[in-house]
Parts: sequence; C-alpha cells; structure tokens
Amino acid sequence: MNIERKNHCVVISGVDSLQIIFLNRERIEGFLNENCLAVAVIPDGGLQLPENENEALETVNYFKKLNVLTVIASPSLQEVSYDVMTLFDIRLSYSPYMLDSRRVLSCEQKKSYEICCGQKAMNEYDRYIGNGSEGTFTTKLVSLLPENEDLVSNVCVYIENLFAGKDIYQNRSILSCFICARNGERESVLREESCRFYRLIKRKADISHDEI
Amino acid sequence: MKYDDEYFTLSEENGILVMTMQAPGNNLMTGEFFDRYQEIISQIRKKTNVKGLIIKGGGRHFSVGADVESLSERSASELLDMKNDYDFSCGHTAQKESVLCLLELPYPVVSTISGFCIGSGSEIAVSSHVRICETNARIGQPESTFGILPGLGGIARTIEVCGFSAAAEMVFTGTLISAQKAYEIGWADILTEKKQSFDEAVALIEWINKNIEKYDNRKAGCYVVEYLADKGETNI
Repeated sequence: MNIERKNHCVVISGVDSLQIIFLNRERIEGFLNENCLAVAVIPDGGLQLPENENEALETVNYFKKLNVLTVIASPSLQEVSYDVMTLFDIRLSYSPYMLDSRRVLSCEQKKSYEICCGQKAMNEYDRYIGNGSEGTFTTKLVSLLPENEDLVSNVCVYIENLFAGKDIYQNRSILSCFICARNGERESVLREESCRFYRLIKRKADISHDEI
Repeated sequence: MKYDDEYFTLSEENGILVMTMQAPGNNLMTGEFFDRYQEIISQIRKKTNVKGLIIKGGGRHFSVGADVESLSERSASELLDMKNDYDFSCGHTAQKESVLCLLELPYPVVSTISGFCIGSGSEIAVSSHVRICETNARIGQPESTFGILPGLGGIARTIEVCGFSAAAEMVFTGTLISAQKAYEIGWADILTEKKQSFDEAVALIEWINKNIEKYDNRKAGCYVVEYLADKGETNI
C-alpha cells in the first residue's frame, strides 16, 4: 500500500482490500493534516470488504465517519463490488459502472443508490427492473473523467477543482454538510447548513470589520 | 383569488395556482422579497381544492438569488442574539421553513425556469416537486464564490435530487450549469424550448389530476415519466 500526500488530498494506492486501509488507519491519519480535505483510494483491480461481518461493519463505519471527502478512482471500477462503490462519496473512472439485470438491489442498496445518484436516477433504476429488462443497467454512480494515462493527476485535478477558490475553513464548512448527508438524513443536513452558514457569515463580518 | 404587488402576483386559473415573482433586479431576493414571499406562502398554504402550484419568474429570469451583501448584513446582525451555533434566529428558521414547506404541499408544485435560477432562487426551485427548464436556463448554487454556502436547503435538496457527487460539484465549485446538464444530473425533470415551460407545467398538472388518484409528492418524478410517455415523448 502506498500513501502519498498531495495538496488537499491523500492518495492511497496499491490496495485490493478496504480492511488493509482500516488496519492502517493510524498511519493514514498521520497523513491527514489540517489541509487535507479528501482521501482518494486507487485500487489494484477489485476492492473488497472483509468477509467477517463484524470486521466489515467496523470498516464501513470507519469510512462513513471520515471527516474528509472519500473518493475511489480507477480506469474501470467494474471489479469493485457495489457495496464498496457506494461506501465512497465520489467515484471517478473512465467508464460507467454497470449492474447486471439479474442482480436486483436490496432495499438498503437502493437507499445507497439514491444517496449517491439522486431520486431521478433511482426512479430510472426502478423502471428498468420493473420492465423486466435484460442485460446490464448503466448506473449513474460514476463521474466520468477525461481519459488520461496519469490517473492520479487526473483525480487530483478533479479534487482540486472542487476546493479551488476557497480557504480550508470554508471548504470544511461545506464538507461538514455533505458528511451529514452520508446517511441520507435530511434534518441533520439542514441543521448543519444553517449552523455553517452563520459561522461563515460571522467570519465574513469579522473580516469586513478588520478591514475597516 | 388575486395577490398583486411589486414583488409577486398570485393568481388562480382553473384550480391551478400561479405564483409569479416580479421583484426588481430580476427577482433579486432582498429582505423585503423574503418577507413578501413568506406572506404569499402562508396564503397558499390556506388554500384548498388546488390542482397544483406553478412558480415562475415574471420576466426573463427565474431569480438571480439573494442580495448577498444585504443578506450578510442581516444575518450578521442576527448573530448577536444567537446563544450558540444552533440557536438560529426566528427569521432564518421561518425563511427556511417557507422554502422547504413546498415539498410538503399535497399537490404538484412545479417551478418553470428560464434564464438565471441561482442561489436562493435555485433553493426555491429545488424544493419544488418538479422543475421544467427552458433551454436558456442557467442553474447554480454560487454561494461558495461569495464566501458562504446555501443555507435554505440548497445542499440537502440538491443531494436528494441529483445525488451526492453531482451536488458536491455544484455546491463546492459554485459553477452555473446549462439546462441540458441540469437534466443529465437529474435537477431538471423536463426540458422545453423557450417560452414553453409554463404551458408544459399546466399540461403536467392537469394530467396528474386526471390520472393519479392520490398524489404522492415523493413520486412526482415517476409521474413526469408517465406523463411524457403518454404524450409519446421521452424529452427534447
């Protein structure tokens, strides 16, 4: 496993198991300084959850509680399991992620899909299954990157573009609202929006006062 | 029933309420705008036997969003009374509730969008059940470019409508997107040519009232698809 600190992002590559990341979490957290706003995992082929249920739950909870944006990226993410895909906030690839029509998502998986892709995408999936369509379904899970040999640079450019033009405090304020949304609980996001809005307003007012 | 002032008109045509925003500065959302908006929403909530509500801009634009400087000043003055980070002012809570309450109205709420639909304007639209965008529409949540973030449900609702990553791209970057892009990410439900969104909204509301026995706002997107299929269309 390789860990590299970029500008606002830590890149973890050379892994095929989320458990390895979980077991090395202290080492990873050593890289997560105050400027770090994202962790990007670039798997070697597939990326699996531990087979042991308790270990899988621990790993899932670890990722859900990370206070940075979580990104998974690969030229093709097709070898990554659906449950791992939807554990990440953002999924980047050169090709979309396909679901086999023979494999119908569970209620919990559909909830993840809706959080990742929105209501319209969820409705499209429901219609596809309801129509008894065969073959594969093109999901909206992946944000497509322009093809480039240097995937890491490509990913870093994407991430930097999100955070550009804003300082760490403002980026963290926005990020905290999105982190609340990981579990799909509207009320907690709404509350965090208002809290962070007023903190940013206060800072804006303090800055203006200092300038006067 | 009519309501007509320099900021809004509210009319009713064949059981369909039409709220038209006609405030100065392309519906610049000042404190006065929000006060009038809350008044008109409280009137709408009292109405019964309504087939649907259409929200639209009276001129070329849906809304250019909040007047950021005056919003910052008003909000900064509210800070003095806040006992802690979650002790939001009554004004903010009422304002937010008046936007989000659109979601809970028991009939179709359709925003018809032309021109700019940005900031708090976008927050009103995204809290509607359906968004019909004309091809010239430009949508966005540019609050991050002003040093703040969307505070009236824009983050929560954009995530629900478009998904986490599309919403992250919109909110973090503050970039305006085209109507076509809005459709691709799920923000827009229907695209129309210029000046056709209102008629489309009326037709959609009439179709829902005729074909759907018990309206469920969570299924509004599904109704749109059925409506378009009935028309023999997928979309432009």
